[in-house]
Amino acid sequence: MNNYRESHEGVIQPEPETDYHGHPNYTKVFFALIGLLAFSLVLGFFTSPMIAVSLIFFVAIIKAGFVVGNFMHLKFEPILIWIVIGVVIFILATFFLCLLPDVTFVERILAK
Amino acid sequence: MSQTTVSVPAARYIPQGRLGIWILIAGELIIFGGLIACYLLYRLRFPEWGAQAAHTSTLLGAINTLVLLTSSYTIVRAHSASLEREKTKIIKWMIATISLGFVFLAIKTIEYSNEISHGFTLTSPSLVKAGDSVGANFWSFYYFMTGLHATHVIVGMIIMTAAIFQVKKEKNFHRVELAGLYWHMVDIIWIFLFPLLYIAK
Repeated sequence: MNNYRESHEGVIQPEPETDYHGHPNYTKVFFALIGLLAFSLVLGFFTSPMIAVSLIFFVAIIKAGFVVGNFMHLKFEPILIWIVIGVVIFILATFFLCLLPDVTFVERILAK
Repeated sequence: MSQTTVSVPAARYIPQGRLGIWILIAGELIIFGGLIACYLLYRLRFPEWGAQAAHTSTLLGAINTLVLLTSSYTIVRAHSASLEREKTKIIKWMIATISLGFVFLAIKTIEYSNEISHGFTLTSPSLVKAGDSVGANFWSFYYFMTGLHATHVIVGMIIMTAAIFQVKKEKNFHRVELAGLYWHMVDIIWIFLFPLLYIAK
C-alpha cells in the first residue's frame, strides 16, 4: 500500500521511498546475465559477420531486457514510463529502418 | 484535501525524482541509440570494418562487461538496503559499485593505451595515409562511443558519491534508487557496445 503526501504544488505524490516495486531474485538475474554474456562470446565465432552481428545484437537486446525489467524494475512501473521508453525505441527503429536501404542496398546498386 | 477522495491517473503517483530519471534515461538512449544505429549501418555497408574490430581486445572487453554487470548487481543490492534504511549496507554496496567503476575505467585505460600505441586514434592518421579512410572511421566511432560512455561512468560515480554523503546524514534514501537507475543505464549502453565493437570481427 502506498503512502501518499501532498506536495507544495498540491499534487498528490507517494513518499519518495514508497516501494511499489516487486523484487525479483536479483542473484538469479545476475547469473542469467553472465550466462548470456558467455553465449555472446560463443556467437562471435560465427564465420559470417552478418549472422554474427545479428545474433549477438539479439542476445544484447535480451540482456538489456533483463536489466531494464528486473534491476530497473520497469516491469513494475506504470504505463507512463513504458510510453517514455517506447517512444525512444520507436524513434530509433524508424531512424535505422529509414536509412538502411540508402546505406546498404542503394549504394551497392549504384556502385555496380 | 482528503487523500482518499483524490482521483488521479496512476501515472501521477510516480515519484517526481523517478519520473525525472526515466526521462533523462530516454534522452541518453536517443544519443547512444543514434550512435549505435549509425555504427550498425556503417558496419553493414563496410564489412572491412571487421578487420579493424579485430584489433580490439575481446578479453578486456568481456572482463569490462563482467565488471559492469556485477556493478549493476551491487547497486541493486544497495537499493534493496535503502528500502530497509540499512545505512551500513547501503554504503558498503555503493562503495563496491564505485570501486567496480574504477576497475572498468582502469581496464579501459589499458585498452586505449594499447590501441594508441598501435596507431589507432580518434583520427588514425596512419590509416588515412595508407588510403584506408574507411578503417579510420571505425576508430572514430570506437573512441567517440566508448569515450562518451566512460564519461557517463565517471558521472555515475560522482552521483553515487553524492548519494553516499546524503545517506550518511540519513537523508534522501530514495536517491540511492535514482543513482542506481542511472548506473543501470550506463550498463545497458555497454551491453550494446561490447558485442558490436569487440565480438563482431
